[in-house]
Amino acid sequence: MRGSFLIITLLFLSFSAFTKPKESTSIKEENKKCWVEDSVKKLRYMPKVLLNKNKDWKPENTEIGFQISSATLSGKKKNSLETKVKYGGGCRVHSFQLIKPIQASKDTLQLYLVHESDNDMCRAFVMNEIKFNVSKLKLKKNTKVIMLNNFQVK
Amino acid sequence: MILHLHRMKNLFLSIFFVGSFYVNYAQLQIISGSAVAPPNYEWMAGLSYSYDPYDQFCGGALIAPDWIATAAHCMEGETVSGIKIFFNAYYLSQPVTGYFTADIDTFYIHENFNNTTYDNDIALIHLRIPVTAVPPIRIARTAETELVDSGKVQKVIGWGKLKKFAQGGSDTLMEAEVPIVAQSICNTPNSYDGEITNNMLCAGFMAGGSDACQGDSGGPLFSVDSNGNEVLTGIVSWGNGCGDKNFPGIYTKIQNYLPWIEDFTGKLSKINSIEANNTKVYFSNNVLNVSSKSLLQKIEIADATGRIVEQFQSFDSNNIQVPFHHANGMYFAKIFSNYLSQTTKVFVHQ
Repeated sequence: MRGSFLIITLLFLSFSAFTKPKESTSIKEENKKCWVEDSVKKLRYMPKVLLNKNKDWKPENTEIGFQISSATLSGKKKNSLETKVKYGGGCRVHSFQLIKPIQASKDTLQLYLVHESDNDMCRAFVMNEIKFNVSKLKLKKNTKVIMLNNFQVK
Repeated sequence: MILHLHRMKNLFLSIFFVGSFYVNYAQLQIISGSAVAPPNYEWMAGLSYSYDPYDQFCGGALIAPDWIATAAHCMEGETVSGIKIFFNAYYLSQPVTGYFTADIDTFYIHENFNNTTYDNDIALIHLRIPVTAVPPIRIARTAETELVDSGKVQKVIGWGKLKKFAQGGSDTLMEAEVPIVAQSICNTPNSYDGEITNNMLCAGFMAGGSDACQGDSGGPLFSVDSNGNEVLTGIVSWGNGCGDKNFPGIYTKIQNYLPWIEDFTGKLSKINSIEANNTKVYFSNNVLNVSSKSLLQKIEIADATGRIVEQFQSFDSNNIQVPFHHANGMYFAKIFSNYLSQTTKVFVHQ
């Protein structure tokens, strides 16, 4: 009896170890929640920013080598997040993506702006204004502060 | 969900690791030189998105009173009205006395600029009104190969980043010394692995150290000739990281573009007469005419590379006519009078 229990336990553990986790559907669902589609607005410069609408897109080189000079919520329903960014490069198309992780604080919403430079090794500064449609974020009424990286959204 | 958390974990880890590197690099100034003291390098131009120097995004070098050399990637996609040029702004937050801005007439990007290989990274900006307040820097002549020999120390200046992971540029114009590194060394597999073309100069330190960085593009790499005069040898272009081991900075070798520059400036400069500071200079029938409200004392004529081809002096007159028998092209006239110590004029001998 004890032996058969051990065999069953071992079989169960082996089965668990070789079975793929069931996260695939969860990933899609979470991606729908976390990856926000967006648009770009030209700011005295050709639109070198292409905003990736692929929900499964993941930057290979997550960089913080850019500067946020402003970030504001605009529109009647405060559905538009407009941010001005400055980054190094000038020769390649850069991508920006807005990420909303699982909210930890009740009154603070932390958002992340992720930058991918496509290995741009040029040494100019580029300034762009990026506009995100944040209507899908469904901002909670009790959210008092919105942070974009370390920049407080106004 | 686990994979999602894994993704988020990666993001946080990336930020953590980048943050860690930032702390390490904070000890290391990439442009490990010093602040430029006014009034040095007055020919240094700043390219800004507005009249506010804080919107500076590239540098440039005044190579003639009405022409600025910069990088092609600085100008790609830009408009004439979208950019302002400034001079004498050593400190962006507090420009010194003598700071002034200039408007662009037009600009030309090299027709073979390749933003994948970074080859032919050069552009010319034509100013609406020639700059007479500061002298231009001369471009190294093709024959002056010794100026860019391996090991020859150059200087690079700019308002770019002081640290690799800094978010913005420097408030102060900085300078750093960088020696030329042989193309064969920079093209080794552990360095740029063949990416450096004959149109590029490699300058810096294989061990890592002083280097240009983001925000310095378009700015000058220059040397000093046997007369002690600054000579433009390169344009800040690109580099893997900033000051990284095995990856010196890469510059456009401006000597290779002298015919292109002279072709453009010669064809497009319509200036064969200029009037400023109560002095008029014009050229006709192989005679250079200068008239001024003050007494003229000396005139120096230099070609597009800065080489003095004619010198006339001791006129003590308000109007002079001097013969001029040189090849067609762009020339500068430096005029000395009892009223103005020195004025630079440009004219085209056609």
